[in-house]
Amino acid sequence: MAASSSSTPNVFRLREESRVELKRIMNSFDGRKDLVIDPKLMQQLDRIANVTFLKKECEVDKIFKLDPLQKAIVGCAKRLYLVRPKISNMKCIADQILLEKSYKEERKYRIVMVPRKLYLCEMILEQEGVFGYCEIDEFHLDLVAVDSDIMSMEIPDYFRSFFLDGELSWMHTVASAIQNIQKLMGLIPNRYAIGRGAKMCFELLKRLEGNRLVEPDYSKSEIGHLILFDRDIDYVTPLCTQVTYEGLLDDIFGITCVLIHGFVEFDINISGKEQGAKVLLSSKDVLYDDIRNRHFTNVFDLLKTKAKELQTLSDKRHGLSSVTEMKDFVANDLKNLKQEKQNLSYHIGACERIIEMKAKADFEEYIQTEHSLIEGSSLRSCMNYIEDTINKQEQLIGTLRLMCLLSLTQDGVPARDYRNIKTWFLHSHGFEHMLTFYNMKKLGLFKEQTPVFQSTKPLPKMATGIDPLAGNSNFKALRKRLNLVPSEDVDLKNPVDMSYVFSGAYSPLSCKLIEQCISREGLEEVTKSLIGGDRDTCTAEVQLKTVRVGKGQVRSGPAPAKVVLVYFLGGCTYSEIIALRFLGKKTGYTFLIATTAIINGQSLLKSIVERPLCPNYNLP
Amino acid sequence: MWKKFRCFQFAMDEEDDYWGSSNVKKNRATVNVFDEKVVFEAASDLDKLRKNLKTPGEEEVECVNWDDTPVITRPSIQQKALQTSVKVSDSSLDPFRGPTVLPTAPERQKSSLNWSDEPSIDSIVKENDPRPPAPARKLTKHEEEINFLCSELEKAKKTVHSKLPVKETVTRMITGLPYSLEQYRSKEEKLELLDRAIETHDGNAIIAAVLFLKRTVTDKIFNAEFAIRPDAINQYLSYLRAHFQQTELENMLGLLNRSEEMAMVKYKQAASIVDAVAKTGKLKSCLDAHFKCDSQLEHDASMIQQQLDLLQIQRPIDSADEMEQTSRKPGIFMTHPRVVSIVNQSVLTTLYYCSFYHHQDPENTYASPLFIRKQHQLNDKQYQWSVIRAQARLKKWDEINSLLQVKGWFGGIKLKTSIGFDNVADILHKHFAPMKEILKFLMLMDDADKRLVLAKKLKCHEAIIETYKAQKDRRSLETYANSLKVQSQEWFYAKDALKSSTIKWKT
Repeated sequence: MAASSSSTPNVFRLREESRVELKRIMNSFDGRKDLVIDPKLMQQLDRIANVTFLKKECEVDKIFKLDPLQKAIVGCAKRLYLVRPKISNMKCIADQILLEKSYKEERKYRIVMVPRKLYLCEMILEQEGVFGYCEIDEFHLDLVAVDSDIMSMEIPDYFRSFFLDGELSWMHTVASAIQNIQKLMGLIPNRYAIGRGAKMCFELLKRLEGNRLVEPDYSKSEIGHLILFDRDIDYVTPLCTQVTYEGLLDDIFGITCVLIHGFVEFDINISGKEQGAKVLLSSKDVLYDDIRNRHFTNVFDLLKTKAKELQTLSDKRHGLSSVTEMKDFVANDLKNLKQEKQNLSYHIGACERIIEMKAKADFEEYIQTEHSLIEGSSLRSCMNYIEDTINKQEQLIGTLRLMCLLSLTQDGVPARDYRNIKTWFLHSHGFEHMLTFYNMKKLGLFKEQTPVFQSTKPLPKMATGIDPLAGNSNFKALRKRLNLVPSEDVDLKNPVDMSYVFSGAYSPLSCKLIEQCISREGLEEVTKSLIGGDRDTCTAEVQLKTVRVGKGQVRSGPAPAKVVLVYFLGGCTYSEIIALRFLGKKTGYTFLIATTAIINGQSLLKSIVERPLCPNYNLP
Repeated sequence: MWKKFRCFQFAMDEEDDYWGSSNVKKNRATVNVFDEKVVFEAASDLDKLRKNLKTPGEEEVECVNWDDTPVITRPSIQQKALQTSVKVSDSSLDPFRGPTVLPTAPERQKSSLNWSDEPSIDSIVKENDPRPPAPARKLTKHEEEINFLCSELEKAKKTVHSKLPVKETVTRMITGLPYSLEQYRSKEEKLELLDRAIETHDGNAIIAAVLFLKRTVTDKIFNAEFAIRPDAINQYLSYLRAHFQQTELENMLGLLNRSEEMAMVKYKQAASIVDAVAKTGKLKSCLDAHFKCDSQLEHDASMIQQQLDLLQIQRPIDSADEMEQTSRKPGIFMTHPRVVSIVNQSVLTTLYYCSFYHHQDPENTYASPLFIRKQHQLNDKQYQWSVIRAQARLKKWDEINSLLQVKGWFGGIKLKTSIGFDNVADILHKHFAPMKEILKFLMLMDDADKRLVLAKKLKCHEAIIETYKAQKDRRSLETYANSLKVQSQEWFYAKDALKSSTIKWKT
C-alpha cells in the first residue's frame, strides 16, 4: 500500500491472527481436553472463535466457566484453563487441582494465561504447591476488532487499576498490542503520547522494540500516526449524556461488545419476540451504518423514510406481471426485504424506548444542567438541580455524573459546597459512599477547590502515588482556548462541527486535542493547552513530516499515510468515536480507534463506586 | 579451565533445571551430560583414545581440558564456577538453544584449544589423560562454529565473575525470557534492579523486583528504599490488596504515612459487616483510631458518628416493627407489609420508612421522622422530599397539605415548600393523586412559563387554561382548545374561558 494512501487498513486481520494462534495453542496440548474459561474472557473469545471452532478444530470436549465456588470439575483426562492472569483465578485453579489430586484423579493440566503470564501468578501456583502439576502457557490476545474502525482490548479494569491504583501490569499489553499492529500494518512513523500513562506506554514500546539496526522503512506503513491518549486528560466527555444514536443505544441498552461486532440486546417489547433478541450492530448493516453517527433528532425522520421505501418495495409484488419478474423478485428482493424490515422494526422500537425513557427521567432538565455546567453559566440553578437529584434518591450514577461535571468544569468545588454535597449524598445513598468520594477525589473527578498558591508548589507524589493534578486540565481555560463550546448553533442534520455529537453544546475535548495534534503534526499546541505539570506528561516522535504543498511546489519525499490510530488508555465512548469519524471525513484522514474498553459515563463511574451493603429501600 | 568449560556445556544442555546441575558429581561421565548424538561421538572418540593410550586410572579422570590437561578437581571452586557460569549460559546464550546451533561435544572441546592460558599444563599431562586432541581435519570442518563459540566464550569468560548486567536481566524480564535474580546479592545491585525495572513501566517486572528485594533484605532496608519509589509502592500495594494481605497492607500504609488511605481501608472493612452489632463495634474503634485524630478527616469522622447514631436507632425500630408485623395485628403492617430490614439503609431511606410507618409517633421516640431530622440535622429540603414522597405513597394528600402549611403574618394560613411546588406536583402526579390536588400545587408555582411546561407534561388541562387566562393570551388558548378532544370536559372549560367577557385579552 502506498504510503500516502488513506484507505482504511483492514483490522479484521488481527482476528484471523488470533484465531490461528488460539488453534496452535489449543492443539499443542495434544488430544481431547476440557476447557475452563475465565468469564471475563468470554466476550473477547467470542469474537475470535465459537464453540464449533473450539470443538472441531481444537479438540475441546466440554467447556466450563471458571467459578470459584466450584471446587472440582468432573471431566476428561486433560484440562486447559484459559484465564486472565489474576491472583484470584490462580487460587481458584490451585484449589481445584489440589482437590482433584486428593481424589486421586489422574489428569493433565495446562494453564493458558491471556494475554501473558505474570510473575505473581506463577508465584501463587508455586506457593500453593501445584506448580509441578500444571504446564503454563500464554496466549497473546490483546486487541480484537469490534468493527471496521474499532479495536478493543476488553479490559474495563484498566481504568480503575491504572488511574486509581497506579497499577502498571497492563501497560505491557498495550505496548505489545501496538507492536502487533506494526507487525501487520508496518511501522508507524509519527507517534504521540498524551498523558502520564500514555508516555509510560510509549517508553515501554520503544524499549520493547529495541534499537533499530537499520533505518526503518516507512514505505509500507499503512498507518501514519499513532496517538496514545490517557483517559484522565479528558473526563468531561465520557460523563456527558450521549445523544447520537449509537451513543444512546449504549447508554440505555448497553452495547455489549460480544461476538464480532457490537450486539445490543433488546427486550420483549421491542423485539416482539418471546425472549428478546440480540441484534447485531455493525457497519455491515447498511441501515445501522447510516443512522449510528447521527444526532438522535435526525434518526426518526430517516427511519420514517426508510419505512416508506421498504413499503414501496414490498408493494412491488402486487405489480408483478410475468413469471420472470416474479422469480426475480423472490430471488433478490424478498429475502433482503424481510431482513431489512426486521432491522427497521428493531431500530424503531429502540427509538421509541429511548424517547419513553428520556421523557420519564426529566431528561430535558438534566441535559440543560449538563450544558450549563459545560458552558459555565447559571451555576446556582445547576447547584439546585444537583441538590434536588440527590434528595430524590434516584439515579445514583446520574447524580454522580453531574457532580463530577460540576467539579471538573469549575476546576474543583468550593469547600463549603463540597462539604454540603457530600453530606447530602451520604444521607441519601448511604454513608458507605464515603469510599466513593475518596476514589473520586483521588482521581480528581470530584474535589475541593484548592487555593491557587497551593497548586504551584510541587505536590508530594509519594503521598498518593498519582499526582492529584495530573490529567485535570484547567477546563475553564481550555474551553476558551480550544473553543469547546461553539458560539453558533450547529445544524444537527447537516453538521459542520463535531460538537453535533453533543447537540452542538460541546466539542469533545479529547477529539479537539487529537485534531490539534494531527493538524500540527506535533504536540506544541496540546502541551500549551494542558496547563501545569502536564507538560512533562506528553511526548512525541515525528519521523515523517507531511510536506505542506504550497502553490506551484512539488511534493517531495514520502509522506505519512493519512491514517491515524488513536489508542485510548482507560476507555473511550461511542460519542468520541463518532466525533473522530466526523473529523476524519472533514480532514481527509481515516481514524482507527483502539481502546482498552468501550465505556460510557455509567460504566466509568460504576467502576469506581464502592457498593454499599444494600440497594436503596423500596416500599411495597 | 576445562572444568569451567564443561560446566558451561552442562548448563547449556540442562538449561531448564540448571540449579539441579550444580549437584552433578565431578566424576560423572561427561558423555552422560550430552544428548544422544553427542554421546555417540564422544564415546567413539573415547574408544579411539583408549586404544592409543593405555594408562591406568583413566576411567576416573574424565574431566579434562582439550589440550590434554586434566583439571584438578577442586570441588569448592568448581561449585562456584558452576554457579556463575550456569547463570551466564542461561541468560546470554539463548541462540544456542536450538539443535541446529548447538555444537556437538568434540567441537566444543576443540574450542577450548584456544584457551592457552591454562595454568598448569605440565602437571596435568602427568595425570594420564584418556582423551587425545581431536583430529586436525575436524578442526577445519567446524571452523566457523569454533570461531563463533570462541567469541561467545570470550563473552562468557568476561561474565563468569561479573554476572549478567542488571540491564540485560530487566530486558529479559519484559520480553518474557527466563531470568534469574538470585545472582544479585549486593544491595546496590538489588536497588539497581528495582530502579531499572521501574524504568520499564512494566508492572510485572516491577513487582518481581520488589518481591525479590522484600525477600532478600531486612525489613528496615526494604522499607527505607521502597518508600522513595512511588511506582514500586503502587505496584506492591495493589499486590497486597489483590492477595488480601490486610495486615501487611496496613503496615505499609502506616509506614508510608498515608493516614487517609489507611483510614479508608479500615472503614471499608468495618462498613462491609452486615450484622449491626458487630458493625457498630468495628465502626467505633475505626472512628477512634483513624478518623478522630486526623483534622483532615474531620468531616468524615462526623459522618461516621452519624452512621453510628443511625444504626443505634435502626436496630430497635426494625425489631419492634418486625414483631408488629409477625403478630398480624391489623394496621399498616398488614396493608403495606415490610419487604426488607431497615438496618443499614441510608438516612433518607430511614426517614422515608419512618414517615411511612411511624408518621404519628411522638417526637421523642426513635421512629419519629422529626427525631431523625433532628439527629441528622437534615435541612427542610431533605426532610420534605422524603416525607412528601412517603405520604404521597400512602395517598394521604391532607397530610401533605398540613405539612406544607405555615402561618402567615396576620394569622392566615398558606402553603410553602422548600423543594418547589413543581416538585410537589410532580411527586403527586407520580403517585396518581387526584387532579385537583395537582392543580392546586401547579397554580402555586410562581413562574407561569414553567407551570405551562409542567402542566402539559402532567396533562393538567385546567392549569394550562387558567394560566393562559391569567396571561390573557387568547391566541394560545384558542390553539390549545382546538387541540383538545371535542366535547370533553376540558374542551368545554377552555371554550368557556374563551367566551368569558371579563378577561381583557392581550392577543
